[in-house]
Amino acid sequence: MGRREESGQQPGDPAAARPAPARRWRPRLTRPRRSTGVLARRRARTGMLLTAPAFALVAVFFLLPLGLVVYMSVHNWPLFGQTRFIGLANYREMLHDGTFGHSLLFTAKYTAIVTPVQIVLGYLLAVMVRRKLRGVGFFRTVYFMPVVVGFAASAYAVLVMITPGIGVVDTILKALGLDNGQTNWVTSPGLALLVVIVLITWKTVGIAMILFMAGMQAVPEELYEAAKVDGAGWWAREFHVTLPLIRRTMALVLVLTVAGSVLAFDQFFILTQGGPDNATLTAVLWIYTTAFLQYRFGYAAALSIVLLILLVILSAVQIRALRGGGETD
Amino acid sequence: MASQSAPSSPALVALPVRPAPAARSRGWRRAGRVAYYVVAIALALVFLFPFAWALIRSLQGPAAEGSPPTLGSLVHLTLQNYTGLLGSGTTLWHYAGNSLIVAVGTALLTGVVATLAGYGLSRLRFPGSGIVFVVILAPFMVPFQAMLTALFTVLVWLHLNNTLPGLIGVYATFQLPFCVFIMRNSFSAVPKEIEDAALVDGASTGSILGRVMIPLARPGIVTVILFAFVFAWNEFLAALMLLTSDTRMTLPVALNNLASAAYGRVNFGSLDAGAVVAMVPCLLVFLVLQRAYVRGITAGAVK
Repeated sequence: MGRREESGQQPGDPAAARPAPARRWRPRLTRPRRSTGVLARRRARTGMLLTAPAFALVAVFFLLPLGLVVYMSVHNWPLFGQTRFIGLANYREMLHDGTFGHSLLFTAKYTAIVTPVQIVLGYLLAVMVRRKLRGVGFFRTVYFMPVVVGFAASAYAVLVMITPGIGVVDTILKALGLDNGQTNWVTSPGLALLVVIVLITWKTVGIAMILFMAGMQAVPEELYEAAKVDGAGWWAREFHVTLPLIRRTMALVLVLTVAGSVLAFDQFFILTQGGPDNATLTAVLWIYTTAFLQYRFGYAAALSIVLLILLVILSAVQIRALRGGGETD
Repeated sequence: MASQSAPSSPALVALPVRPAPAARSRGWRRAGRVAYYVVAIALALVFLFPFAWALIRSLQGPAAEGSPPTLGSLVHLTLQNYTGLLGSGTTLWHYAGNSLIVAVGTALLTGVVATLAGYGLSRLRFPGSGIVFVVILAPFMVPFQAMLTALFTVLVWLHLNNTLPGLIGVYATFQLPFCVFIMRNSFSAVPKEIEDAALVDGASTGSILGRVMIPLARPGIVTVILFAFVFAWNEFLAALMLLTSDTRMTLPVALNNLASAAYGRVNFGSLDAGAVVAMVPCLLVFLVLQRAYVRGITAGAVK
């Protein structure tokens, strides 16, 4: 509420928006107070009006469900029929729900594998496309293209590619003598995870590449020249000039990849359905299953609350990492 | 790999940098460049392969799709998979139409709402505008995946489940944090003096926004609309959850139906055709508006 009063003191005062170098006292001669007040009040009202649609959308489709998810989590809430208050029973059940714990662990494992892969490959691609060479724009575009297509569409394309017996992946591996052309990629946990990781890397590494590239191009050229004069070779310049100066970008890529992986759903739902034997079940996939295949809305809401708390912590770390990185640089 | 071949600044030219024999270093440099292009082109082929493959396979008839690809089968092309029916008597284009409605609807709604809110929050501060800004950004911290059942229930209450407008509302809401953020920054980047001049000339807030501010903030608006469109066109989970009747499904959900038709034989040709139709609009839009897209990615980075 303190914030509200603070901004209420000078509604719409143009000087408030500008970063005044120092708060020097100035005689208010040029601006008659009353007329600015009317204008400012009108502009403030317009401001409220302009933000109202956005606020309404957020209230209906975000704040309302956000409150409801908490409410639902302490209820027995079947898809049809009476809802019943059951206190913390859903949360108690969660503690004994091995599948949920398992799905959280798998999500963590998936994130732990995907993140370094994205960072290393994204960095290497950025090194390739950051220079000014003929055709480099073409390569940038091509490496980035998978980013803009959907997870679902690309997962279905991959699903066809890995179909045992008729998919192109088996066909190529068979031609190379590496398998018998009948490998079922989603019935072994290791292979299923491998397929998803290859898909995700192809699909999203372009984001890391573009971010790293932007970070690298912001490093002043003089630093490289100075390092060269000091006799630093390519590797030395990379490790002692580029890497330290793009720490912030590194943190950003890390955080983006982690946030994306924690919410992983499409690729697993489409390619593995969480199988074999729940070996590739992610947290969101398990929540979806409890809600829309078992129709246990209340329990799914309780699971969602855990995920929600994890995500908020992650966002807080994210904001801190980005802010903090900027200040120490 | 060749070393950085950037032009050195004039002051440094005279300094004795690396007294290596010139001929040898030039040879190495050329070899490095050739190696660079070999690697870059090979990678480009790897990145393009899934697109190209889905396209090629989608253009083959029913005879080819159930057997492993052979060089002979790849040359017999037909549009059958694009013109036939998917699943229960609906064409691919019907679902693509639904996707287009949702994507365009989301893009327009998000574009308008984010522009208005961005301007309001950037220039027309009002009591509580700080709180409103935080509330509008909140869906960024808590994505919809963390409240699936509640979101579903709210849409049932509003009779908006299984409707395209309901889906548009959900998409727009969860795109707002990013888009309002972009628009607020775009408006804040416009020099205050321009607006003041219009204000002195007696322009109303509406005409300042329409005639002065929006034209100046156009790059931001393009980015916002582009992101909303691509997001809505591609989104899978919310659509899967909310759309239940076959004729209302968006393309990704329809593909899911097609692929999980476990009893019959999955029609791989149609699945590839669907994947191609689902990918092409995004790729086209990206190729045309590349700058706006990359600007959006990096703008999210500097927040």
